[in-house]
Amino acid sequence: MAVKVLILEDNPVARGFLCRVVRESFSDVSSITEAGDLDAARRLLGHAAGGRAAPSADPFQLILVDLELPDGSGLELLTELAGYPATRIVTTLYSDDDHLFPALQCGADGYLLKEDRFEVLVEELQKIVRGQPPLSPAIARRLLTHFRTGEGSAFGGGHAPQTVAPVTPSAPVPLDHERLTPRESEVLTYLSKGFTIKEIASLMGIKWFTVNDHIKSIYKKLNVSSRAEAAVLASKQGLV
Amino acid sequence: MAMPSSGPEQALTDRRTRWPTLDDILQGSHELPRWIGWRLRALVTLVLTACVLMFFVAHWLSTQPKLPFSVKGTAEGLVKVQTADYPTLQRLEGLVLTGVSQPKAQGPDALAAEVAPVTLLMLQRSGRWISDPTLRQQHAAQHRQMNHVIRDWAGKGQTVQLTLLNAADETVLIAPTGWSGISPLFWLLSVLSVLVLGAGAVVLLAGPQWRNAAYALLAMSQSGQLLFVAIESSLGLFSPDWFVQLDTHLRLAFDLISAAALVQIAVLHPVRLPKARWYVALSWLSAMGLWLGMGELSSAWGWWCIQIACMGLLVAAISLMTAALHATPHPFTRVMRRLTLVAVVSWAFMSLAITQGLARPDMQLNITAYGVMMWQVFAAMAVLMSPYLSRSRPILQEFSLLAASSTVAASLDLLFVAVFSLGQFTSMTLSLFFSFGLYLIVRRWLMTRLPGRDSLTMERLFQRLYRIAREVERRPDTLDGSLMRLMRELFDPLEVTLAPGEVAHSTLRSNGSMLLVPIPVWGPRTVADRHVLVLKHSHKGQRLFTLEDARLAERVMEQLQRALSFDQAVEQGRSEERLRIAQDLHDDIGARLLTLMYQAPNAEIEEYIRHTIQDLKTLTRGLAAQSHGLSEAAGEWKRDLSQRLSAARCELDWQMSLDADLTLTMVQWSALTRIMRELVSNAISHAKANRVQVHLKLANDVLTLSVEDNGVGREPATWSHGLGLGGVRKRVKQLGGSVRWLEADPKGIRCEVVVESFSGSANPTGTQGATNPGPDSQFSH
Repeated sequence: MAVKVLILEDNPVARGFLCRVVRESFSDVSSITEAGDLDAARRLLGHAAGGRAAPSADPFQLILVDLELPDGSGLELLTELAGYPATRIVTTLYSDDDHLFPALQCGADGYLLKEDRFEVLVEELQKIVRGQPPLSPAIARRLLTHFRTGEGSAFGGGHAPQTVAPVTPSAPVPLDHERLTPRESEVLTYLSKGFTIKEIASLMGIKWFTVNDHIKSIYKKLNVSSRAEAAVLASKQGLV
Repeated sequence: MAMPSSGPEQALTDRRTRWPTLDDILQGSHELPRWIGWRLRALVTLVLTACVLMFFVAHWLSTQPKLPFSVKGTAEGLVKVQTADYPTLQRLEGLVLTGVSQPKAQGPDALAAEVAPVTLLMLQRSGRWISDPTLRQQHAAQHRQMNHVIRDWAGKGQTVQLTLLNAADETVLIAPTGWSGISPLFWLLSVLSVLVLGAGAVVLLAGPQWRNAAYALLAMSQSGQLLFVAIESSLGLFSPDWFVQLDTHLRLAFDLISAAALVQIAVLHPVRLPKARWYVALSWLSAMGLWLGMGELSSAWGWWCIQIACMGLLVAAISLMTAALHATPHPFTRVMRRLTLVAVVSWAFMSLAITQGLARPDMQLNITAYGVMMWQVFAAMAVLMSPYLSRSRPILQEFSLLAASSTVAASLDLLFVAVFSLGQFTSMTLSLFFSFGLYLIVRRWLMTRLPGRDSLTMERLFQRLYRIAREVERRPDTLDGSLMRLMRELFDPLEVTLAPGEVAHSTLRSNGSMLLVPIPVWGPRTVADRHVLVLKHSHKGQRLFTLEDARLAERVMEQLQRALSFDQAVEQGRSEERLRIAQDLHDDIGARLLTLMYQAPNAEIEEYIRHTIQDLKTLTRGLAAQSHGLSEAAGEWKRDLSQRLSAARCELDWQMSLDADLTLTMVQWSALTRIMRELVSNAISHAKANRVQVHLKLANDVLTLSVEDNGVGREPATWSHGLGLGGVRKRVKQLGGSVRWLEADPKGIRCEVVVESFSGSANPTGTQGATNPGPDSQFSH
């Protein structure tokens, strides 16, 4: 099966580098489309700003999005891509959770740090596409607070004025489907302490891919909860 | 529709249930009744009526007859013409006036003209202060005769004939007093009288209780006394007969009412004593009985009876206040007791002086005229300021004390003359000295109970204030505690409590025995959980809080708030600036470095730039982040290291034991991050190790970090400390610790970093390192 890739990155050198990473990671890349800003990406995807990107007959399967773009934030595109059947990956220089957490909430399936070594990036990209989302301890901590308090307080609680959060902290008590199971919460706790997936698996006495499943499930819930928050917010503001 | 209307009510009940304590402390609502509606109307009506009455009296006075000269008593008991109003009458000055009669009519009934005698006794202003009943009757009779002489007075003017000693009779025209003839003293005293009446009305209207009613009675009778004194000061020889009678009786009644009311106040304030009802009934009954029985003052000892009875009632009030003080110490009662004591003592002196001074009639006249007036003014002042003791201006207090001691001075003057037969000048000097000394003593004794803040100097106060601001900035929850401590030092109250509630300003309650100080709203504290500091009984219950105290407390809070918000603004500005720098560094330099890295000619330079980017990121994160917990940071270190090591196909053995979770400062965090990263990347790139052990330990505030590899490195003593190891040394020095490299057991190198007293380490050396990097860089290269 041929993979169709979209790379949204304003730095041409970085774009070239990412192309190489993509080609190295997958043997069956059919085409790589490059875009330098949000507008170009929207034109390619066929939707207007603020609208929803609908999958065309021949959709992209992998989309790499940079956060800092000349005409806005990559998060905008991520929000617009909700429901688009592609693996969405944030490629960025920011490794702090103030940037990454909102990206995850907007539906990013993973993130790549652009300064990582070529081999590392290839490996990470393959992992993400295979469905193994990365979680840093800081993000795990934030996820814990996010799900525990049930409020959007995980974001922007005064410490992160630079956060480009599309969803404001205003959610009520989380719905049942977005609460964490005890196992998931345990996984998150270990992750927040800096344990690797293999270490967690041995600590919890389960297989590493089970840990991975838990992480994926948490990931999905995060996205769900973020979408629920957005819906609540939208109805509150009379948008829907 | 019902929802919106129930909103405010809901809020009100919420408010009541959430903040019951402040109201509890104040025993009722802490909001005074607002001066709207009937209270204000009643007060205004009363004061206006009093003013109208005052002008009515003044008008009446202006139509009363007045001799065209002033008279003065002599030491021999004669009445001399003092100063004449017209130049034509100046020849009369110095002559002795013995009588006034109607001018001899032309005709046969000339002999029938009566002569009304003018004696020193007639100059006595009030029958109330003539102790001898026969003299009092004479006083009244002579006034009656005088009134008979001018019976044709119609308010326009009348000629009378003056009988003069050793001189021919003189016919003069007596004219109405007129508005300009009313003595200024009348205006002063009557205004004071209205004020006292107003004070009584305010207190009664603000809280219609028994003790306030007693205060209103006390104020009313003092006001009446003052009005009589005021009228007397203007009337002179021609007091109408009815006025003389009314004056004597009413002033007597006023004295008794005042004394009884004071007993009632003493019983009911600040706490109701047991058997209060009986004390009150007893005092009022005895006052009434005395007035009914002795009111006529017909017997020789009647006057003394009244004087002693008044004193007795006052002494009873004092002892009741003492009892109340034993039950509940209250500085207000203490001050009141002392004021009453001063009143009793001066009253006793005055009575004694008047009865003993009969030998010098002219002196006695002066004492009864001015001594009594001064005493009345003192009493009125005391009454006027007592409900506002903590708010009244010091000048008012001084004035009342001055009035009290001048009463004593005048009394003493007469006593010295009468009892010790001293010369007038000697006795005056002596009594002045004596009373001035007394004034100083009494003043000190009484005033020390009021203000005073010698416990904390202003300089220290400000030091404390800013220290609190610093501390609160670090830990906002310490605000209440440290403010309580500060207030304790400032006012030394018996009790400091914290009550949830809200007052707009620092306010005095319960006559200054309580001070409410609102705590500034700051930081995480919301408007909803406002608190009020309640200070009770200044200086261990010895003093009252004054308005100055409230103002001081208010200012202290203002300063604190200002300091806090200033610090907050500075800190916010600082962190915003840091954030901006961090973002700019990260975005601009980071992106450039990234481009550079992608185009690096070889792997070595690429790796070098990658490290630079990572350092830049550490730096910018350190700048942007507010605080890092040690355990959280450790989690990230571990993750970071394991990622790096796994990329280099190297195993990480991470061990960590922390006995406390500290909050790292920025300096500590970035130093430790760089140390660890540098050591691990050394192990990978130089030592070619495939296993790295990292042990991080914090025990008893000693931080130990050891990084051990199994690489090829040997003999660390011979290493040249390049940029990498120099950087490690520099960071360790910043932390105030020590670092050494050792050969590990089978093979490899172990690096040990030890930081003694880790929690206190970073700040001094850290800031030094940050602000003054000169010496550091010198040593590290």
